[in-house]
Amino acid sequence: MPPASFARLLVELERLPGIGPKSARRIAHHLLAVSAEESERLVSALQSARANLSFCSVCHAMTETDPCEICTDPARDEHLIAVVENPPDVEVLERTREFRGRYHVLGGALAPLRGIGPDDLSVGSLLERLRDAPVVTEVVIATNPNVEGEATALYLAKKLKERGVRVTRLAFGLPVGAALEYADDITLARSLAGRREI
Amino acid sequence: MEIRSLTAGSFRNLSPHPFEFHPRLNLIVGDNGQGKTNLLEALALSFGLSSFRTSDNATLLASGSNEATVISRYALAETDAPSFHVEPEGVAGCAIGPKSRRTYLCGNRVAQLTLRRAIPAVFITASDRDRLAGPPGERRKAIDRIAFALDPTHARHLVDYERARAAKSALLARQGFDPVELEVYERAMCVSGAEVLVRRRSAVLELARELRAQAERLEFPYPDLVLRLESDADPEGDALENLREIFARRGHEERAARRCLFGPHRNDVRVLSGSTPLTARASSGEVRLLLLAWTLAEIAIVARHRGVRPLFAFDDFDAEWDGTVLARFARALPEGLQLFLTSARASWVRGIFSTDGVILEVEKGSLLGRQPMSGPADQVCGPRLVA
Ligand SMILES: [Zn+2]
Repeated sequence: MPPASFARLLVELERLPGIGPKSARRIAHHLLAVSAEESERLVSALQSARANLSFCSVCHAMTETDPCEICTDPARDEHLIAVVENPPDVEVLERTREFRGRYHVLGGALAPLRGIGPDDLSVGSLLERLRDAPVVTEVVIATNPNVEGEATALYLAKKLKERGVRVTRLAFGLPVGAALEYADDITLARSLAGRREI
Repeated sequence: MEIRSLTAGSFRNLSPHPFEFHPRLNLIVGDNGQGKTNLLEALALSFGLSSFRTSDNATLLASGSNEATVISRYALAETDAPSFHVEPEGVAGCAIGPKSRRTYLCGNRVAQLTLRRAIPAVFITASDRDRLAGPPGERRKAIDRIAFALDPTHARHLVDYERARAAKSALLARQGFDPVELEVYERAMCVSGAEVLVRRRSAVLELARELRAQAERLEFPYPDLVLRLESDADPEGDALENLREIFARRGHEERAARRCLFGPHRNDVRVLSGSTPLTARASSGEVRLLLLAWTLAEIAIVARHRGVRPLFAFDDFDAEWDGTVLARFARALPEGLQLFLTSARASWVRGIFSTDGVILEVEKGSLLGRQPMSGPADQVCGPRLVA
């Protein structure tokens, strides 16, 4: 049995996505082997991120200011909104430098099996946004190309069309079932350019 | 395709020493409970197949262990010409945790289906014995394997269909739901379900053709074999339109029952002689004979479409078939196929399989003895071997 405080560290590390028992052990040993100063830097980076970052009240993306820089940037195309599942997806699309509109982060996808319905996502706030900002003419749905992402896209399309907005979907050249965050920039740029009406 | 060896780590009762195999016939003998079937199961898992005995990973782990590994060393045969890229020699394997499974090919983490495609294998195990006379589940699985051999994307559509169905079931079971949400998951079931249906139709056609040829070679007495895909949707029409129509027309029944009642998860494959169900006409021995013909057909179809001769494993091969039938089956197997057979006794296999091979005696999960089988065909092996 490892010492109790070491075991506690392992438990916390194993909670992180993509970290199994073996990686947790390796990371824990590393963190303890480096200088106290170095492991302090990690702790303080985490604390400062927690203290300074929050979610934009308009688009729900991660931000240090509210509303976020993208929502307040006058150079962004206000006619266009891209809907994504999670905050990291915003960074993925930003990296392509192809998308010049604004974003809306849903906070996931419809997943009845896990009890996640429309009310658990920011669908209501998206509809409000469209009502309050009638300049929006097109919504690009960039949910993941898997069963839940496609169902969510179709759900949004049905809800948004009632409002007379053009609804498009990324023309994925991505492998079916893949997640947005694993797509390379060129593939994504191409799917943005070739988006189709749902 | 040939498996050179299998190494198991913390897998059931299997010893960590590598099991080395013969390129042709491997007869695995031992008393019940010694690990014969464990060895076949370990092979199956190392090829990316699921266990044919359990869906609970935890039961695969040796007691006190958190992770099991099964690793096969494979080599393509000279006559193999895979229809997709696979290294001519390498290592395939699987790491099994209590709730997870990771599959590897030549040192890279790969999807289970990629591995399954690279190392094709055909198994007959206890769960296949009921394929022809039992409930539809085993027949659906067998058809899906053929469909996967014809078109690997079948597996992806099947997974998508099951995910959409699980989502729709969860909504139906709930008290109140957003009807648009039900509609979008129903739509997902239609899209993936239609892909599944189309591929199952082709698979049934291909299997029926091959099955008639193989049944004839085994002297199966009914030449008028017919396979029919039974589906809620019209088997001939446009699959997508059919599914949409049935959900629209009978959706109220599903909402009343609060579960999914229609769709490809309810498909069956009926085996008929003319227009009579085979099980109503044929004896149980004849039905078992047809299972052997079905196996030959699967081996032939996989070999043709993947360009790789699959491995063939037959658990408890002499338990339900008599010597004459097995000898006919053995003669009908393609040349050069690598075989893994298990049996409680080794005494009479030489009269049936006239090929080179080894007898591997397994006791308490370890290899107790290994004896070549290259002697004269009529010489009977002793029931017990010396290490
Ligand atoms: Zn924002």
